[in-house]
Amino acid sequence: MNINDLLSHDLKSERGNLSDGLPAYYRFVPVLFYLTVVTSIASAAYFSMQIRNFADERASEQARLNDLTMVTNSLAADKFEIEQENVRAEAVGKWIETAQGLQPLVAGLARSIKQSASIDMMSLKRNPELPPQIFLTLKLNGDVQEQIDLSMQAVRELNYRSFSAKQSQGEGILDYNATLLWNGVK
Amino acid sequence: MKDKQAAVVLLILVILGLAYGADQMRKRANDMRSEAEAAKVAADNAETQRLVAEASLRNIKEETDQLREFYRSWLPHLEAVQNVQAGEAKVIETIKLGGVFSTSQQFEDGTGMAESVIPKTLKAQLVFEDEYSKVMNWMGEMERLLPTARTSEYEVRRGDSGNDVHISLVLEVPIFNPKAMVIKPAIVVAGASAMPAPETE
Repeated sequence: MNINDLLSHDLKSERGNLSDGLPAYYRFVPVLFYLTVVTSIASAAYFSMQIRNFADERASEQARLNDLTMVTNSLAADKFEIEQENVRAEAVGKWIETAQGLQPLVAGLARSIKQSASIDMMSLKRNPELPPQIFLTLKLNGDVQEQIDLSMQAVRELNYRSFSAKQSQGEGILDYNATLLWNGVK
Repeated sequence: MKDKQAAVVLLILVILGLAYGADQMRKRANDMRSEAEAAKVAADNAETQRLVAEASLRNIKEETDQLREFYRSWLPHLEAVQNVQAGEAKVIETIKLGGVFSTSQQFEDGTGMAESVIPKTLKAQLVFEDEYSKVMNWMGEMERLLPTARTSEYEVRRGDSGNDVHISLVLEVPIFNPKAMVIKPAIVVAGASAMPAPETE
């Protein structure tokens, strides 16, 4: 028996397409889609890796910057302390320069007095404006001329320089004034 | 629109979306690279600043070393007198130790150096009537115990009796303020070597 004889009817009659199919080049759209998916995934992976690397690099540089800033600040603080100490030292130096003891000068002058002379009055006053300068006043009795030479020799031996010296001399009396300036440690 | 056309449009939209996303990632990567480079430049600048600061510190240390050493050698003596009461006590103590007869002791505030570690002084006006050698010994001892004190006036005359002498002197004791903030950028170290160091006890 022929199979066609068994078919009682045809459910779908032959008919033409309602519209034309898409142009052939549209077949590249799915290809492009797959290519784009693959490329996007690859580039996303690549750029993520780059972002992570640059982020690490940035963090590392920022940490270095912070460390260096701390070190620089610490150095600046040390420098400030040294500057402070230096200015303090300058002030102390200025003071100490003018605080040179007078006892050696007084003792030296007293020791220079010979038996033939005597001190009636001796005065040492620092110049209030220029404390390193000392105004010396000596009132001597006796063999005054020789004595004043000896006394000023004693002053020079102690490394004091005298200037603006004035003296008024009477019979066995001498008033001597001078300004002394210490020349520093020998 | 037919189904196939709609599918194509959808696919094209998805493709554009993926391309846009990839471009955004590229931009982010570029931004991050710029930030990393900027951070590197900043760190390199900081490194230069550190080197400059180090050199500057080394220089200032070398330049001021002598003067600061001098200062530190005097510091114990200065720190011993940080107020007027301590200064008075020191002067009175030296007079007692010397056993000299003092007829007058007057203390008053003196002027120091403005904006410095010695903002004021204690001015002691002392009068002695005793043997010359005794007073001389006391004076030497006082200058040893109070090496920072400045004798600004000294006068000796004959005393009323025997070997006695009448000595009047004015002592200025510096009142030290170690916490004084003194800012001065210029550094002057000249003259430090000519200054005497304190005698060690």
